[in-house]
Amino acid sequence: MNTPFFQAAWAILRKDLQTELRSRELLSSMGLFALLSIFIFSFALELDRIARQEAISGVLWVTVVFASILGLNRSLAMERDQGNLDAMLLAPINRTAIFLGKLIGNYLFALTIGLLLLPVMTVLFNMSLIQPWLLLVLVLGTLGFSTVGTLLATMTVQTRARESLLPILMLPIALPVVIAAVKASTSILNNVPMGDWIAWPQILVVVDFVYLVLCFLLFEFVIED
Amino acid sequence: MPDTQAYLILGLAVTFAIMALLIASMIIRHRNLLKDIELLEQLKDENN
Amino acid sequence: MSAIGNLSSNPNQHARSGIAAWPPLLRILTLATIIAVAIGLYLGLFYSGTDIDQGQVQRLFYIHLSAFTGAFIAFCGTVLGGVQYLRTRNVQWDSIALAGAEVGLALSILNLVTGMIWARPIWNTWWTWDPRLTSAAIMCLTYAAYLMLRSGIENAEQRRRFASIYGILAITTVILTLMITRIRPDTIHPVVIGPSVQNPNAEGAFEFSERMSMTIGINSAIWSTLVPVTLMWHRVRLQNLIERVNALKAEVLNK
Repeated sequence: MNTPFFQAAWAILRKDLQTELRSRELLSSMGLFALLSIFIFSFALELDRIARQEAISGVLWVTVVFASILGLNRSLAMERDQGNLDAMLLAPINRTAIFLGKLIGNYLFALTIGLLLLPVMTVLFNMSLIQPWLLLVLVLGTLGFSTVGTLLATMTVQTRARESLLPILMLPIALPVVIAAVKASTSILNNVPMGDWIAWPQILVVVDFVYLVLCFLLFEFVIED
Repeated sequence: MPDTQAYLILGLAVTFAIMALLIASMIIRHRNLLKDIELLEQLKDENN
Repeated sequence: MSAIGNLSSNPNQHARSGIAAWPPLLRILTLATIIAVAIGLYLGLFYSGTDIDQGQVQRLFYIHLSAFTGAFIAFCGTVLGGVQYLRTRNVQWDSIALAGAEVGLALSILNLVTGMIWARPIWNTWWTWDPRLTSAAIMCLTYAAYLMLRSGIENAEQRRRFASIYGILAITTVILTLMITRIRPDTIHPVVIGPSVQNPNAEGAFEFSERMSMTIGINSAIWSTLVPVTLMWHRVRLQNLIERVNALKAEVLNK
């Protein structure tokens, strides 16, 4: 008898969250990477105040995306190494439930890192990033590339090239999300009137929706056998 | 009228070059494959 | 779909090689394509008038736009092939998908490069991080990544399955390139097709004379139909040959 869909997804999510709470492996490596990235950007782009306003959202999103790639690789590699991928295939659950469980887990980790970065960058760059609209963009944007990232990471982790293939595959597909997120963030941080930039979060919603639907439909083909 | 003919010629040259590269790559791969088939058929006969 | 069967090379025809081995329809199609492309070039280079503002380089536009439409058709082939492969697991569909990606990548690189050459005298720069150019470049990178994905997987079944999935995802970059001018009207790239809201930032738009319209129409039609279909057909035949070699290798090495 099949385990109901959401129960199965929740079981997988809970497993990931519990593992992470005990070991804090993902969050610490993602977090440390993110901090290092911000520091490097801070040195490399010695920005005056005006240039900073333009560049800071790019720095934020590049960091969040690469940190999430790190997290995705580790998360799915753990599944593969422990034989969980096969185990989940054998379990009487809907394959798509696996996707939902992994997606929410990866999404929460990426979002956490993003949220942690906001106060850090506020201090380092002397600009207030803690703004409600920016939070919304962060929530929407991280969802977009977590969606395609989870699908693609499940794929790449099964190949010979393994982890190195994920950024190559994921970045072009994630670009519409990143572009919309960066444009929206820049406008918000520069206090541009809402009418000028509200199109970008709207695009984010549409793109997120399209990617969610596509990836849900395609995931069952990623893990077969 | 600005004289931009040089760019047109460059563009045409690049067009032919790219298409030629694509087609040449297909032809070369085709020839190599035919050679491979010959060799493999030989090996197959020898094994038998 | 019985037409799919016709695409595969008849093993008996390998006794003859070269053009003699081509199916008759392919011979006609190839010849027609060559002639059509030549006619299109003639129209673009001689028949259509010279633009007063831009000079001769404007003629590159006929190739530039046509290459994009060709790439678009080819990438649609990749999506169709991917979807159908996942549904039917018939290897021919995957071959079509691969052919579409390769041919489409070549055509989209052509699109990008002719665009850059045209841009140099008109915009005074080879490149700019403008929305349309950026998304066109992303499109190229995506399908290059597709080919890289394929080369990184040894297991044939897994390769075809994963490539199908990625090929379906990749079409989003193409749609993005098509739609970006609707979303971001402040692009420097002229909007040629469709209702053109007068874009004050566009540089390089030109008035269409009647001859130019006809030239554009015919060239686009040729490059969006004959060129990708013919190239893809040849590429699929090549792929069938590759499959045959792999099968032979497996047979011989397993003795």
